[in-house]
Amino acid sequence: MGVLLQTKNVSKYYGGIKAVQNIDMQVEQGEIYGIIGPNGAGKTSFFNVCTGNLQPNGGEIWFKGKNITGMRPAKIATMGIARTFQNIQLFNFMTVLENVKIGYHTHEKTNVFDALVHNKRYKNDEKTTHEKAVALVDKLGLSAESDNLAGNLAYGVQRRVEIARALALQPKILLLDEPAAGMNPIETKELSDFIKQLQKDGQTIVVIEHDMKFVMNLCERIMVINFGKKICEGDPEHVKNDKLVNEAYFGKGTTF
Amino acid sequence: MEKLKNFYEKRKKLLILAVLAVSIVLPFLIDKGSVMSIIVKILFYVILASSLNIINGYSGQFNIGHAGFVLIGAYTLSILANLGWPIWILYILAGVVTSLIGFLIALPTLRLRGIYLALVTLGFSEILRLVALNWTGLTGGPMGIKGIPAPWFFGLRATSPHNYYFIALFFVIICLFTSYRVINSKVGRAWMSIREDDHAAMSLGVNIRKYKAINFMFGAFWAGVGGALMAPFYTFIDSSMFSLDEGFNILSMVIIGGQGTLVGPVVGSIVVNLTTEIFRFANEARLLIYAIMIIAMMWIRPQGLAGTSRSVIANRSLGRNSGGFLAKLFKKKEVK
Repeated sequence: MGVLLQTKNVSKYYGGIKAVQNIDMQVEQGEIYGIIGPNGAGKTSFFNVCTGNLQPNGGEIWFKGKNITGMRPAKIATMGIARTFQNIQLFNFMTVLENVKIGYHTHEKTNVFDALVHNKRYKNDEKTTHEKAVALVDKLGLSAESDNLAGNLAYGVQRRVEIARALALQPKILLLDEPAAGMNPIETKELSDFIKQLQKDGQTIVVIEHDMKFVMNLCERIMVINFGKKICEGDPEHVKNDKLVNEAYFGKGTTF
Repeated sequence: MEKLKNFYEKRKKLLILAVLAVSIVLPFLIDKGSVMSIIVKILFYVILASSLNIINGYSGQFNIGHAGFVLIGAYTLSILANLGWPIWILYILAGVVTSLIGFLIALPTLRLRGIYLALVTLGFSEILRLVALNWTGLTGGPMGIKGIPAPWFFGLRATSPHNYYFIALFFVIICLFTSYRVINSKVGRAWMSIREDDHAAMSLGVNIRKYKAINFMFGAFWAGVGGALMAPFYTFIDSSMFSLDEGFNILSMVIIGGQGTLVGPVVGSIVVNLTTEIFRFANEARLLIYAIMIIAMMWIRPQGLAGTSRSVIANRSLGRNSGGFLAKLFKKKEVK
């Protein structure tokens, strides 16, 4: 299948705090890869380093055989890495449909001149973007909300809009930062099914999540981070029985 | 308000045609030259406020030195018109020159936002005014530039407000039309995404620097054209016409009319200019009325007269992002 996203020895420090220390990760084409860890373990920092939102203090990030360390977030997004945010960052004063349309930004070729004269390129862009955006909004079951302002929606629905927006980028790899946070069990189940469906369609996905049941059911391989270090990696069964992981989550058992 | 909006949405084309018809017939109904010059002035400010709205309202940058751009447009036209260049070409050329200056200003300020960008634009505007005041050889210094010729218009020189009105109207229509088209395209969507959340915009592949620069250039272009339009009408310009007060005046029109809407600046220009004329007897006390108007707007209708709840600064209607305009301006964003 081949490695799609790879980090080599990546580190990120905030002053004296070592948020991410020497993490190696290899995400294979077509898999669902999970990242878990206690609060403050460095999961989101690691994500931000991968997408260029933060620059690493050490190590390299490779995507599709290219070194993308130090590139701007917009460039990395154009190459095919889409992400969602832990604290939902939607365009609140734009409708759901407009939010999704911005996801197609990199696939549109219109410039100011095209927009002024409404030439063929503009019309093509607007037409395909509109059609695709409507279809995608439909796919995520958001058609009823399509004309509502994103900022007015319920939390769980906003999460879905954010995923739709990221998918509009037509990414090679999708990074989801706590997609199930704030969702009720039914919504979580639906989301889980949806992500599995995406994988069937060939999408590679990396997911950070706190909901253990969600991660264990969904992911093929899981990495556990604690205090910025990778403490374990493997299939869900292996991770569940790992001593270090249990210590990280439940503490060391006292022996009498 | 909702009813009004529905009414507007339903009869959009008809309404636009009606407004067009009224504005074309208008100079034939009004005899008085003084009234007509007020209306021409309103049209100038529609262009200026609209161009500022492109920068402040659509891409969420905070430019308070708009008078600087207007100055460049006005001086470009005045200097070259006195050398005998054709004025119709100079209108566009003034826009292009201003747009290039806008690009130069945009370059170092692309990383700034909110109050920091505001300070740079303020300084820029003031520097330009001082240059215009002191570079006597080029700008006439404190004496200004006199005798700016009027453009030819259907075989005669457009010196009266009644003739000049049509030239101003022509540019207002083009300004609003081009703005409308650009905003309803990939470019406009990119601007709005930067306004709403630049981190999210970046993560979707929007090249923020590029689109901010385009935004500044587009806004500056129309500010330049607006300034260029004013010069032949007044036949005289000097640096005091482009003080910071002028910048704030344009800003107040955008705020009172409604940021982030196309109609907003039009309404703002009409309301503010009419208020100015109505309270002309009150002299300096007029400024007090402005202040009260702006504060009242912030308090009662932060989205402006023509703005809907979709406006940028109408944050109060949303719980999660509450805090209003000023809070958003000073808000420090964090990467999560």
